Amino acid sequence: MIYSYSLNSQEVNITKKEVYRYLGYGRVYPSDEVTALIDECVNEFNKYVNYRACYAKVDISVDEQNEIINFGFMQVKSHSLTINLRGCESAYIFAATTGAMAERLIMKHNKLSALKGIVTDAIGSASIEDFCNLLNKMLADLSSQNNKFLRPRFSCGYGDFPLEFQPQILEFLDTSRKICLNITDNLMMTPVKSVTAVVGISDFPTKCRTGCVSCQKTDCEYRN
Amino acid sequence: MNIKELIKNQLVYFDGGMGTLLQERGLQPGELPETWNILHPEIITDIHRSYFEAGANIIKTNTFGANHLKFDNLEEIITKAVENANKAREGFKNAYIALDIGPIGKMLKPLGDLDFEKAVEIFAETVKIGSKLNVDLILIETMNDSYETKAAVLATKEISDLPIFVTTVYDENAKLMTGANPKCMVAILEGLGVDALGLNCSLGPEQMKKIVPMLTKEASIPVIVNPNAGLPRSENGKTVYDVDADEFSDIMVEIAESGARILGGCCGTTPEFIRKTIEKTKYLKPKPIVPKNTTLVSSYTHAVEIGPSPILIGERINPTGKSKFKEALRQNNMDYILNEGIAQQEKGVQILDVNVGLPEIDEVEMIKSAVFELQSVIDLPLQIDTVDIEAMEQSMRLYNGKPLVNSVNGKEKNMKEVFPLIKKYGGTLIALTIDEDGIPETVEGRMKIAEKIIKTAAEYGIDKKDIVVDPLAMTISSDTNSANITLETVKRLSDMGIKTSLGVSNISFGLPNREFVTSTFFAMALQNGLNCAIMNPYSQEMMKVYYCFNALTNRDDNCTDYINFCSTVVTQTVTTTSATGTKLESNDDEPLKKAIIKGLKEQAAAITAEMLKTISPLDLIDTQIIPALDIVGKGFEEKTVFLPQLLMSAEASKSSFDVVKASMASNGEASKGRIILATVKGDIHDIGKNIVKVLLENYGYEVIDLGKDVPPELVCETAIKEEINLVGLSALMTTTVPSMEETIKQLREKRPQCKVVVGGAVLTQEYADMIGADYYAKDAMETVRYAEHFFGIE
Repeated sequence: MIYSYSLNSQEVNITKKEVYRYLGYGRVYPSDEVTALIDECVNEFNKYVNYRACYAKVDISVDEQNEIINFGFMQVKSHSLTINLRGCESAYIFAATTGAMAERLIMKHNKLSALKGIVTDAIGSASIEDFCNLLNKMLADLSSQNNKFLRPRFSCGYGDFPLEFQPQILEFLDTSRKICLNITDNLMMTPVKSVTAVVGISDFPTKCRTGCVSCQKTDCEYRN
Repeated sequence: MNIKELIKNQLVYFDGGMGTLLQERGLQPGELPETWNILHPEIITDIHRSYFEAGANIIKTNTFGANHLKFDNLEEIITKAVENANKAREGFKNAYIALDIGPIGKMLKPLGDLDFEKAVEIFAETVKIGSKLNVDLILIETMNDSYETKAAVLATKEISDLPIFVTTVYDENAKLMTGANPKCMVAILEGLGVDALGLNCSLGPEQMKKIVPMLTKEASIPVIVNPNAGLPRSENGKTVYDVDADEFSDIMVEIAESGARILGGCCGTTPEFIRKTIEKTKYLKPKPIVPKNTTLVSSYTHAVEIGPSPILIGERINPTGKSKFKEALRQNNMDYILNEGIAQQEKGVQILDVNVGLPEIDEVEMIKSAVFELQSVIDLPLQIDTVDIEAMEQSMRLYNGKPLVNSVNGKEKNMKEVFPLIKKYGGTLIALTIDEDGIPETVEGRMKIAEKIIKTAAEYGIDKKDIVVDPLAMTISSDTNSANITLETVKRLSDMGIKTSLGVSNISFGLPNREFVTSTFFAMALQNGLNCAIMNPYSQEMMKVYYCFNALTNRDDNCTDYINFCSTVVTQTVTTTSATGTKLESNDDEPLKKAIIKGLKEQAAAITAEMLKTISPLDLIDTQIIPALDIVGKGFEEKTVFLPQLLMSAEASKSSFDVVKASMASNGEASKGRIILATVKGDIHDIGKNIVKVLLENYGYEVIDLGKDVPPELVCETAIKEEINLVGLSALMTTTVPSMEETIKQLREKRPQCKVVVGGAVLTQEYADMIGADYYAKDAMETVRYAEHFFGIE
């Protein structure tokens, strides 16, 4: 069964630090002019954003030897996902989006002003991560009632979990119907500011590295 | 009895959900329900029959996802589905079958990669198969997007005469995911001529209860309500919906009482839900469906009602008398048109007129791309303004909403051409009081033409409310009685309840200080009942009349709009003061450089204007603008300046450049070089390319921007036609790098002297080498440096 989850803009506090990071500010703090512009763009973004997600819980089996994970509706051969899901017997699969109207806003600015375009785009990227964090927290709370723990979320396109699984995940979650999330022939999700992920459910807490330190792309310009 | 007859006299009932029932019978997650039409026909028939037994009048075939993108055996899937449904209705009276059509599962352009016409084709395939079979109506349901809905309805209308029912998905805020509100959907769907409309899925009956009156208040056709059984949640490991059949049917009584005519269910509902709903509502006297006399036009988000308050139609997207605009059209410069649209929206117009006719350009292609681009970034309804019937049809077809169409006139031939378009695509029509004999000089003469147009429209099934008469404002400089005739005609039409519009600016043609005359005429026309004015929103005199009229006629609560308008008038004074303020600063060393480096747009323009009094334009560019840009550019390369600051400076220098350009007698300053930029085929995200464009333009290069999702052939054609030797390509996804490679390959063949610089999120030096690019630029500044190098040595 597929469940829905949605939040309004007041419930998602967009992490400004992340916006700065997406704009290329590493450890430097942006100027007053730039922070003022970001604030203005966040306020506008909040009028358009429509956070929606859907998720399902599935039984999984992890064949560690062959590095194959069976989700029922898909079978994934992946080294990095095997490590992530080692020891899990079930997992959440979710898809989340900031909605078509936020996408239109980014598109509009992008057409008319490259400056507001990149700022709003960065806000969109930060906001979908913040939304996913809140969704994750809700799922973690749900799991903790049954003494279960969640692994860090893992998306296709990370490590060697191929992007080609994206259409199957969207189809399985019925995202077109449920949250108006679709995919192009070239596997780009539309709206672009969307995320799908697998979250392993485990009997014991795991110390997992998350965020930039867990990523192998050490030359990434956005790395913290 | 025909289904349309049945709805006229009684409440009619749809079936409920199919998916949940199939899952109970063993449908696996990820398995396509439509395949069960063939694999388990007896189960499908059994479920359909159980709904007829519960009392439903209409069942939906199990074809929700049946399109040829998903099924190779589409014909078999649909044929079997209809067979199963027909088997189920044996022995039942008043039992109807709806061919069920759901969304395609892909997003239409500009949000996604699916062409509007391709969407029409996909729906047409399904309808072609289904409508030949034994079904009574077509149900287009669970639509999240107004544009896709329009594609589905058009496809259906072009193939079949069956009744069309449409239900869309609203969220708690009573909006479609792509933005449309209920009034907007009523405007679009009634314009397209569907037979019933409503809502389904996503919400339970309790949430839908609040949205239903928004539909029944506007709609002149039956309203359909098919809610979910609330929202699913998990209980002791089992999935249950949070509304049971008792609660569901109780709320459905309220929904019927608020005017819904067709009731049913969606996800999670079962025959029990439908049975209980019927039991509780069947003795209700259905609320009559009253035709509404509201004149609506719409965009893809909202409808604008013509009638209650004056409507401003911005006239500036029109080349007449504007040499810059003509130039923009010849160069296919869409940015110019978009900025004209945005600026008018900011001034407060409710509708944008779009006229892009020039003898030397292909108007059909131009208006299609103007409509597409405008509706990508602006949510105002558009007025399609053309005399070219092909251009009118193509742009109405592509338009995402119910347009205002300018115009039809009283000539027989013209009416014969225009009315069928309105009937097919939907639209509100401006009717000019002119016919074969010209423009009558009398009020009676103009009234007669107006009446003839309205009468003829009715013969085509077009309601009087969808005709807005323009009794034509002619300049008083050639006939001083002409305003009297026009104003009196407006009054007479208005007294008869006929909506009116005027191109008010014409009244003052040939006179000095035209604004004085035009704005006074506008005030007089409003007083006579004028509903719409095609006008110049940049004219403060005109806006003054508009806000004052609304305030004086009790159309502006607490005079809020008027007061807000006044505050913008005050701001203009303040701007002047601050411009004077910068004059003081000009004692500083190099204030322009400073303003550009700090990214202060308004200041940069003001200082530029001031400095040009004492320094030549070219000196100003060489000693101030370019050095400032260089400082910022170097800072970016050294990572002391970041992208937003770089772009802020770019915008500031652009505003300075604009002032310089305006001051130079000749506009034809040579560019440093011409470059094509494109985001490659399949890639629909072009933010990086746009940053490169801004910077290149800042550094004096002319950019031919081909946009996003650009086929290799177009890049080559343009490079050959425009004799371009440098092309910049961008890609965001690994999956589109092959189309970048293909573009380079074709360029090598067809324009070998052309160099290619590539960039974008996924690109690396290795990728660039692999696909044979000449240069990999890791950011926008690097592209500028490469261009400098390239044109320097060329």
